[in-house]
Amino acid sequence: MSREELTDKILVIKARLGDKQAFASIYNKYVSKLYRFAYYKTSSKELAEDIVSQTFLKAWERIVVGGQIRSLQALLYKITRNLIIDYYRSKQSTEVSLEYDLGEKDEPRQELHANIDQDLIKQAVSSIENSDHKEIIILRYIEDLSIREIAKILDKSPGNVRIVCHRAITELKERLKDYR
Amino acid sequence: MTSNIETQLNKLKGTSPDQAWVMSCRERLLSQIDTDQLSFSKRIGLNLNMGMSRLVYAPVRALVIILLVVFGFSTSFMAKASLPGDFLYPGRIVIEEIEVMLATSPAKKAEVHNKHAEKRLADIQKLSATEVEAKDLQGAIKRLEQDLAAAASSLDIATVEEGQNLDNIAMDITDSVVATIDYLDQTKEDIISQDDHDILNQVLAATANIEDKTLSLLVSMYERDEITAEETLNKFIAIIDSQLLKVSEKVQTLESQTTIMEGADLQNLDWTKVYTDIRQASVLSSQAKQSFDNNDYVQSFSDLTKIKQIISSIEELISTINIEQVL
Repeated sequence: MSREELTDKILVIKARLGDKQAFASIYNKYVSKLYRFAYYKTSSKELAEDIVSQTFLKAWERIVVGGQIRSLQALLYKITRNLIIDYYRSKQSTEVSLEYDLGEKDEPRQELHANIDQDLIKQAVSSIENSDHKEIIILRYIEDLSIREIAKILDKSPGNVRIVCHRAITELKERLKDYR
Repeated sequence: MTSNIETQLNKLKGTSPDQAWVMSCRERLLSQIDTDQLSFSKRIGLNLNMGMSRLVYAPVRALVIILLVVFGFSTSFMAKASLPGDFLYPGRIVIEEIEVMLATSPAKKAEVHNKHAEKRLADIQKLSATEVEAKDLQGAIKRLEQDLAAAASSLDIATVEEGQNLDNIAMDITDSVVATIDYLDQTKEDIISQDDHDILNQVLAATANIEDKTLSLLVSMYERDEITAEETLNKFIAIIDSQLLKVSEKVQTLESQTTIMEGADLQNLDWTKVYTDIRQASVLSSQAKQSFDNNDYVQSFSDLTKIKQIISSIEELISTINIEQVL
């Protein structure tokens, strides 16, 4: 068990015992990660915010129920992922919107050149239609999660994640060729 | 190129949510989880979901559910058919208690208790026919008494609170009481153990109270034209006959005991008058039956009322005797 996982376990136990501050710490630790995951999956700031908010409520329910939580991080990503799936299922549309909101102003503006590159990358990520590929790009390359951690979130074997990871980055490269 | 893309992707980590939203969302969540405690049913539901999700294959889940349902039904069915002393009998008691708890009104409760009393009487009949331990039989008789008393009490409450039509329940309880008294009177002869006798006497005393409640119910039902005069009188005759028989037995027992006792207080009772009253009641009982057969319901009812008065006066008289001293 890594140090991070141990910290998470302690926070879960404290939250389960009614320590609201512990739950606040869980929130602080994961809110940005989950937001990014939801945001890059949905391409919508409002939807991402709504999904993240619901994720924490559901996580709280799971914590207080008292069942075993093997990995808090995996649990949170799984809830977010399921909420996104539920959302698109209820909308009866494709899993992701292909339109990317380039007008987002919530990121700090750095150099113009760097921004153009980042926007292209964002567009390329957003245009990936394969859900598994997109999730793996976000988790592996944006969030820096290990193969083992991603495997836990996606309920796949590490070997399978490695293969999909290779295919995903190849697909992204192909897409970037079109943009450049 | 790959590493360049990875670097670019990693820079997307800079995307972060609006800090105002982060703060407000946190406050909202913390206040919500403070007030929105999970309900019991929600906890059960979530636990079940979690438990079931560990079973990977849906067919396994379905099989487990089917097995649980089959097991549950077969166990409860077997428990319901069990007799005192059986392994599953405590389960049957629990099921019966749950049935009572689930009854939505006093009238329903009375119905459930009466159903249990009927079953209990059938149990006692089965147990008497086989060789069983005395304590099992005693337990069953005791429970029968409790069921009948509970049925009568629930009926009382229902009559006061609901004021609804309770004819069928009242009639059912009356039938149970009459059947119980008939059976216990017969069984009394076969029971040798003193403990069993004591319990039987307790049950008979308890049923006497229920009989009185039943009589007043029958009268009020007749007054409301809910049952015919014939039905009312038929039940009346059965109950009053049984009460007369009981009071006669009691008088005989007491008299035989008091004559061999030294206590002057016990012998002050005018036994001759008591026996004259009993004889008069017996004559009136025959007349009441005769009048009933001749469709002279008014006369029959009048005779039965007189018998009831005699029984009450005798009971009042013998109640002054200290029973413990006699026995």
